[in-house]
Amino acid sequence: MPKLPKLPAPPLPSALQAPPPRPGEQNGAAGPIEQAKEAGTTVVDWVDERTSLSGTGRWLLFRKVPKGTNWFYTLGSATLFAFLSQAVTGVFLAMYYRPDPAGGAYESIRHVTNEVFLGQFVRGMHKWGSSVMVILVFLHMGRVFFFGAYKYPRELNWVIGVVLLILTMVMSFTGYLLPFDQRAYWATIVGVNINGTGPLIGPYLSDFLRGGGEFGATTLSRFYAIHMLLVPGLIVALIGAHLYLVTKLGTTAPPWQKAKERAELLEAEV
Amino acid sequence: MRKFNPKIDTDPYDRSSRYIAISSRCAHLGCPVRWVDAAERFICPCHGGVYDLLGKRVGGPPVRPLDRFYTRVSGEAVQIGPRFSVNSELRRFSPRDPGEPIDGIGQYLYPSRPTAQKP
Repeated sequence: MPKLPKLPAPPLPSALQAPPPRPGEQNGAAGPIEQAKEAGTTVVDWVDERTSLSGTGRWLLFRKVPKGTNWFYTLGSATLFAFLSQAVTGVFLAMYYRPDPAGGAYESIRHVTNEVFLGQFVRGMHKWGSSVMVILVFLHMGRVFFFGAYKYPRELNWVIGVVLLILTMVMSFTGYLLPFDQRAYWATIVGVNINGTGPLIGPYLSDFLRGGGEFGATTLSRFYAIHMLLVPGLIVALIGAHLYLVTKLGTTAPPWQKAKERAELLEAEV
Repeated sequence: MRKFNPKIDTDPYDRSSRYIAISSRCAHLGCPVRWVDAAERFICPCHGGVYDLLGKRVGGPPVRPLDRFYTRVSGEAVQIGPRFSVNSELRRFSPRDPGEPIDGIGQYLYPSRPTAQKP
């Protein structure tokens, strides 16, 4: 393993930096004030000695970035932030939501929107944030495609990204039913029937989604479970794999960036 | 639902029923169709599927006629039984989901399922 670089010193002016210890201070037992000063460092050292997490942290955060890196490279982080926003607002919505097809689902959504403090805001964040996430996923995919960043050795990351795109679509589809109003009901009927038009496995797929031959009470709880248990777990796991590969392989330079040829590699003019 | 009318219901598969009960579930993707008097057709609000009085497709994206229900007469009442699907000649099939054609090769590509009731 290559030697990891040292953490850079904070860029403080010398007047603000802690003075070096006086000659007598380090000798003898540390007093209570010194112990209190060192407490934070001691805890971090204790954990680090047993986990080596600081090495992982440096590996993750202090990476070489190619010349020409620009704002388009932030679209992936923006997508990640959109997902985190969806996760946080989704947790708060789940505190109020009831997947009850006999009117309870709609009533709980109405309660969140009209009566809960900031409920309309959180629900609006979740609703509009889902569209933002889909848009950002596509922009990120376009950036990777047009910059050629999917090429060797990053093909596997592209494949994981495609799976993440599909899972994002699954989230959008299953989340749309949860308000359980007329629009949600009929849109889901149409969506499930579109699934059913796939030859051979289509009818079985729509049976699985509906929880039976007809759209019924099972369908809502099934969509609820898929929306907040199954797919979020898969997305978190795959985002972890995605980020691991990004860190492992590094980012690409934009295609217009030419590598500077080193002098000793140039052929001498004859 | 309406009474069997030998002048309209001329298809050979239809002879046995005394009442015709047509489902309002569009055969395209399952939206509810309604009878439009001005057009004298069933019209679907979602994607513009159009059916005639028999439920046969006249226009739009649907892939087969409207589904039907079994009917029987019990005393004064007409009772509705299970759903069944029909192909373009009104031949009966076990109920299929909307969007699944059952003419020609369609009946093999979209097979009947265990969860669907057999006619």
